[in-house]
Amino acid sequence: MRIFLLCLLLLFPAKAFALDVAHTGFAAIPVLHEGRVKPLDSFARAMHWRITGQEHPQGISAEQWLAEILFDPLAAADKPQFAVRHPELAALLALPARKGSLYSFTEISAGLAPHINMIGTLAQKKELSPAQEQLLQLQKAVIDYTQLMRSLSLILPLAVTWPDAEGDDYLSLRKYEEQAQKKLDNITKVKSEDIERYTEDEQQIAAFAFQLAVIRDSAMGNNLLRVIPAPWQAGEWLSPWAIIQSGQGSPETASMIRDWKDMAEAWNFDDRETFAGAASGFGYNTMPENRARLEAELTYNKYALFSCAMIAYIAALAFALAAIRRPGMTMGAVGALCAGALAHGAAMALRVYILERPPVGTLYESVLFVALIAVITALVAGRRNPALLAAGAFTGAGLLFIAPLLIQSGDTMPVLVAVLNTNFWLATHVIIITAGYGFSILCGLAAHIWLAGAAFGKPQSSLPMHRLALVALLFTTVGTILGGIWADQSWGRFWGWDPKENGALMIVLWFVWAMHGRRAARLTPPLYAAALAAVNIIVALAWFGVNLLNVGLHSYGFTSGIALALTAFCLAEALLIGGLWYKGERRERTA
Amino acid sequence: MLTVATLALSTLLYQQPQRVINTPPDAPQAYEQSGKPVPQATLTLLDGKTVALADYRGKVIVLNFWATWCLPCAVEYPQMLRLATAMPDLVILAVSVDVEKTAIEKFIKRHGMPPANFIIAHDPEKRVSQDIFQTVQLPESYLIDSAHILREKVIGASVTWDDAAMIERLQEMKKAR
Repeated sequence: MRIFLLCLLLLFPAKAFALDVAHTGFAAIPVLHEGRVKPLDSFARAMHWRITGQEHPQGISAEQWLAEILFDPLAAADKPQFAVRHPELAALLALPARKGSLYSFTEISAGLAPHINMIGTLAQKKELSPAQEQLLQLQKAVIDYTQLMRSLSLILPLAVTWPDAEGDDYLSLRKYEEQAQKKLDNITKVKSEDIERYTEDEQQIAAFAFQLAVIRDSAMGNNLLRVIPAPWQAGEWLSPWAIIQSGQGSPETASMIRDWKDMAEAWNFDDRETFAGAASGFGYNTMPENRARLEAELTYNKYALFSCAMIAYIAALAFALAAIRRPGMTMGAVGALCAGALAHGAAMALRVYILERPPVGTLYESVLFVALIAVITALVAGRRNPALLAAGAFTGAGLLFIAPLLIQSGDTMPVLVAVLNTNFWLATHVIIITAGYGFSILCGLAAHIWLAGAAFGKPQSSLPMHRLALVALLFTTVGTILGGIWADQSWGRFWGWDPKENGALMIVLWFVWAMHGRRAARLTPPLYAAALAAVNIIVALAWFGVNLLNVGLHSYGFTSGIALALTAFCLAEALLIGGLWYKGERRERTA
Repeated sequence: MLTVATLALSTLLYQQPQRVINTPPDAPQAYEQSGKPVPQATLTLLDGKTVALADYRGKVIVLNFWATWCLPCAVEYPQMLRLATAMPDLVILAVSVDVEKTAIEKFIKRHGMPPANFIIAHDPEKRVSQDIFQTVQLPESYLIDSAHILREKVIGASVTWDDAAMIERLQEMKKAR
């Protein structure tokens, strides 16, 4: 395996510089990945996340990172990109201790080679140690990286060529393969396979035939870089290698592969102008009808609007906290919150436009949407109330901080599973129930503030805590009922005591219990506020907690790795609410 | 009120024309339905003369890429001979990618001489087969209608060239304008 990889890499001559691909049109080239046509920039970001676990490459753009792997695989093989932080795993792979714990493809593949059989066994197991899980992830990352490095091996210049050949890449040189093979057959008839007995010319012929065979064999099944629409298979896109191997070639695909060849040559000669000409000519032409969506996605990637919104929310939080003592700062909080909501809303709108569906389809998207609902509600209900503005800003910033941790596959815009792929129910049930979560969280935070005021003798009577609870109850109830109707249509039953269904019902029942307690004067005001504050725990359990159970029909929402954080959050909340309630209750009795 | 507003918005969204999310473009499908014009290509015949694809405008063409060492190609050859006889107004352009011309001549002697509308060309440098039509594996054939539009591609020896269904398909292509 190791020797094979080294042989393969040595076939491509090394290059000392890297062409800057920014603004060349390379990022806009459409590619079919994970069921969706997206710009190459999004593909590069998703692949970088999958391979390195990091959102952005350090010091370069994702498109540049991808271009270096595609056009200069030899240099890419030696770049430290793979993080191995688990000491047990580093020891298993015989990796030297290093600052940053980053290793190159060459180092990792050499370390993995002796353990291939063991990794195959691990892949069948259900219970894995953290080191074993990381080992499997590393193996997957290496497979993806290998596929990327070989994606264009059919058009990259090769070290060994054929006399008087036109072109120096696999596609050009394979024209001489038949002749080379005939000559090699004659040589082996006389001198067997003992290469020591071959003349220099004969060795050259053997090396040429070996080189073509290695490149062809190593590209079997290489179909990650799907940049060419398959002309004879409607709706399918294929990689350059898959086009060749599946017989899907046509005059059009020949022209597209020539464009990629031009890019590879331009990269080799550091000719930015030619590269840009080939990249931009190729780019949108393959799907002119989706050009606007591709451009929208590039804009979405470029401006990182959610990060802008998070910064604005943090600023709004600072203004709002200051405004509690100095009311003059309230306008600053409102302004910053509005700016954040605008950026946030624009990013959500772009997502709706790009994906052509309502904004909530994944756990990640639900967090983004809940954050926006909480912020807008805070702006509407508390524009003169700094405490509620602070709660909205805190929710917005906090949820936008958490959201990236929930990205499952590197692409923040995955294609939805079949059961979710219905615009009507996404636009009704999912939006209403997640809006209900947003109102519930804001209500819970308002209750926290009320409790803190009661505990420290600064009552917050103007907080619309109860009204928020009513709105939250309305939305969660309607959302839960709509969910039942959807379940009836999709799964044939209205209610099945599925954990997700139970979670939604829990929120409704909690609100109903708290409100009845208040109405019947069974709950004192501090206890009622504590009950509403505890809604945050219930929402967290219903929203994320049930996903950890990995049972039920809502399998598209299953999550792992957040159990500890969720437990810590629930315990901290319980302690905080309990403490504030106790103090508030005592103060009320004393008064 | 909020719920009613949200439901109204949802219904509005639902009323939007529904499309599958970011469907890959329908260009490839269109390619098959409406086709693309045949590119300019000049073929060298066994006697050294050249013909251009454009010379056969108005006729249905089967552009077949083959080689003498390719077993499925040898299976297709007699079928194509029968097809050429059954459809005298059809043109079969059989482009061999063999390196040696003598191999093609031997093959023809062994498997039968083609009729006038079955034209054998030689493309040892693969300038037409690979550079223009991107044929790498053999056999592959393009069906070109009388308006010189690429209609279909047959990958491998996956059809029976002289059966009624194929003849009907090719007859249909004569009607193209």
